[in-house]
Amino acid sequence: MADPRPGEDPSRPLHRSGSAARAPILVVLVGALILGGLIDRAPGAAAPAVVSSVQPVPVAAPAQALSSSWFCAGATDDHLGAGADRGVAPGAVVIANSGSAAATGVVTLVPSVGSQVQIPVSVGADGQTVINEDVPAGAAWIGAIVDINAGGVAVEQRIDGSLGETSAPCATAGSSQWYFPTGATLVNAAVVISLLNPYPTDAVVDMSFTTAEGLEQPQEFQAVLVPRDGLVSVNLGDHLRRRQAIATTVTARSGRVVAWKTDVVTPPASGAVLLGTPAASAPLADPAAPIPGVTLTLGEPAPATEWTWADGVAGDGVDEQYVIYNPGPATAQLRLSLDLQQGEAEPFDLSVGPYQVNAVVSSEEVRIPPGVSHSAILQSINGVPVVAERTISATSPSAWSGLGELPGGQLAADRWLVATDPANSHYDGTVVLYNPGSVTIQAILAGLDGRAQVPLSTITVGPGRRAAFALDDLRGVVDEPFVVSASGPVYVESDYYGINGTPGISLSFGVPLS
Amino acid sequence: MEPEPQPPAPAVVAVVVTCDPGSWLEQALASLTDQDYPNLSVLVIDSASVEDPTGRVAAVIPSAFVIRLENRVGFGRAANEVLKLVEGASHLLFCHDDVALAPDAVRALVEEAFRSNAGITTPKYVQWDQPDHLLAVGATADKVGVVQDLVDPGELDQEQHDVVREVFVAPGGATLVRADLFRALGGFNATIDQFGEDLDLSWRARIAGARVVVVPAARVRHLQAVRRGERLGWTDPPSRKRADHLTDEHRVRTLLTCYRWFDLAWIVPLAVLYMLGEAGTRLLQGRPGEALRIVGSFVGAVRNPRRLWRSRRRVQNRRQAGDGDIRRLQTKGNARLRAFVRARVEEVREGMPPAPLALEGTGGGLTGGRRSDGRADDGQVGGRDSHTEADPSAAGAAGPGEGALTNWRVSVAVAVVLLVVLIIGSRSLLGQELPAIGQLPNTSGGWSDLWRSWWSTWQGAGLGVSGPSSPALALLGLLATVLFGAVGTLQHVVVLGPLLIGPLGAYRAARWWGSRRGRLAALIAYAVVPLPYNALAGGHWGGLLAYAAAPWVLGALCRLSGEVPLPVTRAGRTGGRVVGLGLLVAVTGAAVPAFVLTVPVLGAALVAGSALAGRARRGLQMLGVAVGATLVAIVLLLPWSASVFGNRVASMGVDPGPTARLGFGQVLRFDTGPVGHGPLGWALLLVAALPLVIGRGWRLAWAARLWVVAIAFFWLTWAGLRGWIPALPAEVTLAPAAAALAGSAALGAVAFELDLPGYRFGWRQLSAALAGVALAVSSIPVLIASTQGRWHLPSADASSVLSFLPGASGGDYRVLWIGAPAALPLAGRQLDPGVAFATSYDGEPDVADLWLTGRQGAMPVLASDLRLAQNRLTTKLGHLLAPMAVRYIVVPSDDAPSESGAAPVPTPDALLAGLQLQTDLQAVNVDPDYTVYQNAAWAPARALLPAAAIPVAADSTTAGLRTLQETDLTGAAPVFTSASAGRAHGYVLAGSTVYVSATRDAAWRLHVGSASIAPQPAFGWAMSFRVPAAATGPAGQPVPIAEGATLQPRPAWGLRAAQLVEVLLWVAAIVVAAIDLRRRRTEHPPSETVRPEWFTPMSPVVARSGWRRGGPHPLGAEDLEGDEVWIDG
Repeated sequence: MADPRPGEDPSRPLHRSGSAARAPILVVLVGALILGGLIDRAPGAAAPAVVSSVQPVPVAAPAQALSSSWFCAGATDDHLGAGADRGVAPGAVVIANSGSAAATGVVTLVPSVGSQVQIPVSVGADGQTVINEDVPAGAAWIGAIVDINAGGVAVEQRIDGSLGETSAPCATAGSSQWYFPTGATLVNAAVVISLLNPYPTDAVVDMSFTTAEGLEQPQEFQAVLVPRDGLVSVNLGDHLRRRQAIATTVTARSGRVVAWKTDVVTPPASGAVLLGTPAASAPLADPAAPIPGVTLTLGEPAPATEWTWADGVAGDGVDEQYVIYNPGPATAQLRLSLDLQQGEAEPFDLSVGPYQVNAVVSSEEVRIPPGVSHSAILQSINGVPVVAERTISATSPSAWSGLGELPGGQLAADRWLVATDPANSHYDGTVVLYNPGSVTIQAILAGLDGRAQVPLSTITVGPGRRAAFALDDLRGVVDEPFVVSASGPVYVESDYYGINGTPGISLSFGVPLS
Repeated sequence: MEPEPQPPAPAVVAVVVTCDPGSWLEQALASLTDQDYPNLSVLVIDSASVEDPTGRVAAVIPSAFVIRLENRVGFGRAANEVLKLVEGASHLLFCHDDVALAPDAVRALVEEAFRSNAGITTPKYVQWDQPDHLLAVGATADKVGVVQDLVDPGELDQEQHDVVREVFVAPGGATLVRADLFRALGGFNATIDQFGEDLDLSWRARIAGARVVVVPAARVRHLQAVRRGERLGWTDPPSRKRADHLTDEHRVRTLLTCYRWFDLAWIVPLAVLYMLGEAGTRLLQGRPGEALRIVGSFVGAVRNPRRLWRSRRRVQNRRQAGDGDIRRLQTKGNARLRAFVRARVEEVREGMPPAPLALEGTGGGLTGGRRSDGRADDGQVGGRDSHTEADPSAAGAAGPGEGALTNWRVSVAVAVVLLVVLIIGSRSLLGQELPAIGQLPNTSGGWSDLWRSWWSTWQGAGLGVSGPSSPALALLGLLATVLFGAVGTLQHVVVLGPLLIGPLGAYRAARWWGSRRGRLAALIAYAVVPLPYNALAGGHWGGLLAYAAAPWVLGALCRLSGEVPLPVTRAGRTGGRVVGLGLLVAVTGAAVPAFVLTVPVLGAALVAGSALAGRARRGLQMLGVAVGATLVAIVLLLPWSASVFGNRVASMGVDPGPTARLGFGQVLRFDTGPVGHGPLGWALLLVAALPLVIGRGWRLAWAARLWVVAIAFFWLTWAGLRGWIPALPAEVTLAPAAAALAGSAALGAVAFELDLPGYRFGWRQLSAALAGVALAVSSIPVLIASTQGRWHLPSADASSVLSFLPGASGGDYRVLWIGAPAALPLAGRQLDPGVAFATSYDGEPDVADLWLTGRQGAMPVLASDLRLAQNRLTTKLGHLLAPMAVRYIVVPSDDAPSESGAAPVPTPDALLAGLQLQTDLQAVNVDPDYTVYQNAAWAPARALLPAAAIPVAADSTTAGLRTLQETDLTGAAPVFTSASAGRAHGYVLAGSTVYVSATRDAAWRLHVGSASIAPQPAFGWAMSFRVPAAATGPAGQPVPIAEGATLQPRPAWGLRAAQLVEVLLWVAAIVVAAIDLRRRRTEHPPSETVRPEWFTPMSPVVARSGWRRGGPHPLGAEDLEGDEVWIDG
């Protein structure tokens, strides 16, 4: 170190004068602070997209995946009959492979009673395989665990019974929570919750319900044991009798499960008091649902602040509702915005109290013209998450007949795989795309013919608008699964409606391809 | 009638023991001749003085008897000669040769001896040359025999102690003893003949039933020639050390002799505890020699057990009084600790630097003396008064007047307030185990585990790897050992201690600015920085430690710059300081390796600041010191540092990722957690900005340097969190910034004192007032946070929700932790920015898991599997993780369990979504804040592989992951269960394949019988051992442990040797630093000086030319409190 500075005046200013020394120091220091502030305010790299820790919808694994698994339930094992003798919900598993190589795997059928059955499967490249959910000993209810040693595969469950046909993608993940906003137990209506536990340890499940009676938690629906690799189906009507609206929350105390809901409405007895008529309001009335049908719905594993439906229609015999269930302790302030195919409609503002259910009945709203197709977006204004479904029931004068139910979509994707294509003489099918983005999107629909993906049609979707492929126009060209590829993220909804006297309505989203 | 004749006065013999007496002897003897006691004889016993004093005695007391001993002995043994020489005396007055008795002293002592029926009477001692200053009025001792005066050092005699009373000890000097008692006691203890003989005699007299009484009416002046170094043979420091050594040794002998066995059973452990505490304190003070002396004294006391036993038997045979009666006269507590505290308080009270002060041009002449024991050494201690007289205008010469006293009161008040706030703020944390939130150390494993973990060369963290452990484990082990294994206390010390150590460091570092007000400003400013409280709330132990160390390191770097007003250290004298600084960096870096990296950055920032201030050369000096200290630290941390600093994650931690971003404003406000939100956080910046506005000269220059440091670390933190540069933990990089701002706040106070008087009244005065208000305002967030009682630290940790984790009886397993790096209770590897993963063995992690080695082992394989799940490429992750013995997966979404005050942390959502897809993982719903999965496919960490799995294990690298995820390992039978990750014993089956889920290492061996089996590759990264059938006897029969079924890595002798070298390096560094510290404290003349004019305030002037020096209130030398500070006049 240096010796003391001889003759140095330590108090001597650094520069010619104190003020002269201070200025550059202040300039540099203040400049460094201001510079930091300015850079901090400048828009930087976009924050990474938020990925939900709960898988909101079934998504196909990437093509290069080592394995993918799907879980289906809510069907009945009663294929033995034929025609009107068929059961109400005989199920089948439809496996579609969008990959360029064959996919092999095992379908494990899980009956509610009895032993499992394992069926090896192989699905060819760009092909489809259907496995009926039948076990030798038979069972009231049945589910399926599909393990495929590949990605790029979508699995749907299709039921085709005497009340009509419907299908829905199977689940890819279990959860400890499941929500169902709708359901009814009437004299001719039943709701069955099927709990499938595809995991290696037992699960214990509690169920709670919001009905007109308030929050209900029947003792019989508490601590329901769902054994490992097992299926338990719970008929809500056993302990919730004559409820016109039931919103269900399934909570696993331990483990996790996959929950499906099957609504079965049989034709009302002759002379029965029908719901919606004045007689149904009588004190001792035991009304019946007027429109028969069957729906199969995979529950929602978590509430969300935004729900999207690509398609919608109301009026002319089609009763459409948006049913919103608030499973939380805070009131939700919501806005339902509709994008009409023709014209404009003011959005609906509504609130849903804690553990309450509220509905927007489109067919009763004058701002929604009858028969005009629309898409819909439900948003929570105050950030309180909810669960929402769109339901329709169709009868004369509509050409359709039956019930349909579809939870809102939560994930937009570039590529979608639809395993079930029911476009035939009995069904009127459409594929509706909704573009949530701000730029116009081009989309291609390609059919899987077992050898390759064959482009069939192209469509343009404007920002915030909907557009539809009419599958009827493509009937005969392809009757296999199809893939929708878009230049940007879209929602793809695949709907089909029974025509020519065939009952049944099926509303479902496709399966996003990673 | 004639008056009745008075009875003759009892015969008293004054026994004066001389040994090389100085010039004072004549005064002492003359005081005996002046006694008004009628029957006093004088016996002088000379202990073989170099010069025969007989002539000098005869000149003063011709009637005195003089006995000259042939051999030099101590006072006691010399005085014992009286037993042979004197008969018929009533009392014996044992006198040193450096005491002068008041003329009526003997009479007063004798009268009181009869009046009180006392066996021993002792006078009031006053200073030799200042008789109005008390030295002793009797004395007492604590339970372990440490003598304590009953008067304060330097206390004025205002007759406040003038009452006759019993005391425990009659201090040596002039002690009147009843002659028959003295004979009965056998005189002074021949073993304890000097230094402690008074304690021993008094104690034994007490045991024999005699009273010891102080007689204040008898006044005796005492020179204390030995203590003052004025007696021949006792003038040098070694001889004084010898005196201390003998005093301690004799004290221990006395208590071993005098207590009953029953009392010794608890007194001896207490004495050992005190001894260790004192030795530890000396070590911390950098005085290892004294520490050794203290321990040596204790050992020396029992050096001759036979003689000790005889002494004890004699004493106990004469026992008339119980120990209970004796203890009533002893003082409570630890007398030495009390004296130490009193001395420190006295220093603070007087504002007196313990260092000597030197005047320029005196050639190093001593005008002041160090106060080592709180007593003034008259004739040598000039202190500030001398300095003031030499140069009244010198700023550093201000005396301890009323201002100093006021300063002292303010200092104490501030310290008390700070302490109270910390205690209130931590009240819920004291007295209970701290939850192991984040990286707070979990010391539940006990102190022996700390040592064991440090010594181990196989690290079980991750998937196991050979390598050195962090030296922090050894340091924690050492501290735990000093605390007698009280690991709970250890946890509190290392976690809460930084809250005190940091502000103390800021206070001490600011001493160089020469203003007590400045020191207080630094103390307050650093204490109210939200940084440590946020670090504590988040469980960021590294941030706490960096906070504690930063001001010390910054202060040391500034100190070694030699820039005005800091004293210049001569060339060649800096090595010890650099080593000392390196030690500090090493201690911190052992626990927070990232802190080591900040030190050179600190040096570079000081360079930039110095350049801005126009003194770049000095800045380079600081950079050199910073680099040097960093290198010393890295060397001290070898071999661990060689491994750690070669790996980014191990040294810097996991990239915090975009979710941990802080805005520039948040960084400036240290807004890293729950404390300090809002605009009040800006107040600290306002405080620190004051010297930039009003400072001049070196105040402005240093403020510029410190602000550059602060801004540099602000930028470093901010840019790191933005992902532009490699990120260090935010609180580690913000700590130097906080220290720099505290230093600038101190400079603001100095500028307020020195510069503000030089300005005309205007906005500058207003800004100073504003800064004062801002300082008060900046403390509000911390004050508010203190009301919470635990600084927002959650009340529970992961262990409260993971109590279900099983033991290892079913097979050793791992828990895989994934999530935000700060929320994991162990050190993790990086999976993605902001996502760390780590494993713990057989349950929750322990303190050893807080540090990584540079080697990753097979952890990339684990990361690869996790990415498969994250990218949704598998639904069989459990099968892929099975060979890694991963039985549980834990992903925290908060840093603690729900309802414990937990704060949310970023979650790896993509991975969580991927985990949801796994069919072989089952959710365990334990707490909403933790996502826990149980792996149904797991295999024990040490197991016998099923036959079907053996070929898969052998060629899994070629078979591929698809094969692996279809392989079922659930049938693997555990072996070597409940063992550590390293060595294990157990049973194996003949012909079986033993699988070990650890990174393959050729050093591992399975010993079965006489066979030593080398590992084979398994699953591409692990190990398996094929047990030959021949080695196990009948096929299928287990081999007992006695046959040698042992699994262990071979000792890494190279690492062992490196660890031993590491210990030696630490010892060497401590010795070097201690020697340097000692040299600086004892150096005469000093090598480091400051000049008083540096601290001269400016005076207001009328002329436009500005300001000039010469204000009325210079800063005082008392503000430059530091052992090595000298002030040039």
